Amino acid sequence: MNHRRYSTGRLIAISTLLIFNAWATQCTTAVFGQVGFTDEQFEQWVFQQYGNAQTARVRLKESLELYTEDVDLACGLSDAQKQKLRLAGRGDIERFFRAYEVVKKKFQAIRNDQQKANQIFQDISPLQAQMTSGLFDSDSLLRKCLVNTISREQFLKYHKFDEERRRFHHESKVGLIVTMLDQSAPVTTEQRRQLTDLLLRETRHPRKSGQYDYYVMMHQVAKIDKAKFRKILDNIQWQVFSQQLGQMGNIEQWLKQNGLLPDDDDDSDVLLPDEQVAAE
Amino acid sequence: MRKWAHGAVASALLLTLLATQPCNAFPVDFVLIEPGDRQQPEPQTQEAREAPAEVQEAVDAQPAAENAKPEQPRRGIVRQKAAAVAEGAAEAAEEVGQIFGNLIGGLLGGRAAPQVQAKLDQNALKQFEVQYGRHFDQIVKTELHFIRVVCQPTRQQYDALAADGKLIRTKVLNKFATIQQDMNRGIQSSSDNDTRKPVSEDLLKSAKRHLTVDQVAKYESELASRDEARKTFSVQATTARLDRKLVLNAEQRAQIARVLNENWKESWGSMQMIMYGGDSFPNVPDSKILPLLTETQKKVWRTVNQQNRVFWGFNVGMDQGIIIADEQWDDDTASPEEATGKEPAEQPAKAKEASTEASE
Repeated sequence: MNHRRYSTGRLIAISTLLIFNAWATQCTTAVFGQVGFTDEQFEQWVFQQYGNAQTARVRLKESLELYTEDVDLACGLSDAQKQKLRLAGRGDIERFFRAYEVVKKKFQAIRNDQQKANQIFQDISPLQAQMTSGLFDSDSLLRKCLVNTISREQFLKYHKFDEERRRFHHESKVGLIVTMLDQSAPVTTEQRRQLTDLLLRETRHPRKSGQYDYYVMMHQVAKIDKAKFRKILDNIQWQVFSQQLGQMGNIEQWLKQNGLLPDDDDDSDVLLPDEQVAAE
Repeated sequence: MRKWAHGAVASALLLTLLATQPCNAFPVDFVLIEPGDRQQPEPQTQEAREAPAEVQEAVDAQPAAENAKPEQPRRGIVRQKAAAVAEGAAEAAEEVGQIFGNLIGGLLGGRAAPQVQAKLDQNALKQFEVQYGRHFDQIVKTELHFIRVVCQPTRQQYDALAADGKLIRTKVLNKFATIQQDMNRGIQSSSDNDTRKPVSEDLLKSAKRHLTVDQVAKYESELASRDEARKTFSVQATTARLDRKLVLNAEQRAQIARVLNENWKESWGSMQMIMYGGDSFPNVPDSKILPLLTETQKKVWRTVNQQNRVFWGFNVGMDQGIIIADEQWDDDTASPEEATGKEPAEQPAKAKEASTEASE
């Protein structure tokens, strides 16, 4: 009995010491700065809202299932076609994780060097962008496989389905540009309508969608003939809007580096596989 | 037994130390103020000390009836006492709730939303002025310009509005500086993040005093249209984000847009969440969304991060605060079209110069 009481008391004391130690470490870190980065922190940077690689992998598989169901709903897939698409999608996921492992190894080699560790963010940034925009975009194995897996009739059905989605997203992105201008320099109802029409006509939906959509869209808007805006906006509105457009030249290179803009010699931007079918 | 007691004493000492030790990880520092003070944080600078009072009188000049509380119905003595006791209990409960809310807010990085507002610190105000002062200049000037385009006021009318605009700038800047200061202390005293809306609301009050009924109607109509456009965009953008997450079909997109539209809350339309929210979505009730989804979509929906009380920062637009030239008047009868001409050739010299600088 005495022995048990002794153990209980010691257990409480040890537990408390452990809690105290953890707390003190946390405070010390907060005051004196980080000492080396952990693998967990690296995963958190790359996978952000998913927290770690394991959860991200589960979410990506769920996302693949949603895409397969979407194509199935649009054009009715056979079991064999579904299998092929799932295989291609799994290939996209593996391709992403291979790229992730390369950056992780690089990180592990320099994790204790504060200065070099900061440079690793240049490698992390494209991975983050991919995670945010999703892996199954027009460059994905899944999309390329889709063209070769389904019949022409199925593809035309799917194309119509997908075109509707693209139009919806494009309208939303145009709405974003107009709303942000409205916030900086308000426009009238009629100006809002004219500006929306102009942007819908003169821009395209970004190839990859994500948190940089505003910049990708503004990059396109900056290339529209100024005179078209001057017919709609007055001096002060144009002063504000042109200032915003002027910032876009500086980020073009960054957008390209992160795969958010096509390269100048990227033919796929001129005519995507699904657009080739539509053109026929 | 004695050793057990030693252990317990050691634990108690350590726990006491733990509880009393200051730690940077938990920056809980707030001032609990009385309910009556909540809407009027005490300003510190000379300008700030004077401006809100002037604004309250000059700009906020509401009819007395609008601010007055409705007269309480007469009650029996017993009922009055019971009501007083109940009110006292409710106030006490509210105070306790506020304290715990703040502590939780501090620990969770400002996620809880207690209704406690700290006093505005002079340094915080200065810092905020440096960071956002130009934004508020731009917001007030562009809003005044908008009124000029829409309502076509005379020079005298415009000057009166512009004078109120200066006071409104101070008032609104103080409001957001207080919110910012609270956020820095781990307190979410307000979820307001649209910096233009309070300016346009106060300028509308000002317009009602300085402009004709027809002019005010035009401005009101444009403000309503702006709000409607903003809501339409927010619903569409949120639906588009949900589509990217759940891969919806056209019918589902239309249904979800309708559900969002019918149940819309202003806090769901934070531009920062729309642009940078990633996997964070508004706290739309499951009961409204789940019936519209397939089994796989439901599974994914349950993993998304639904945010109700996260503060996404202030929406000040996408520029760094542009210096807007003063309105140009060729003479007192100049029309807005002449002063704000759409073609460069028609611009007055000063506005043209500013426009050219901006283009460069």
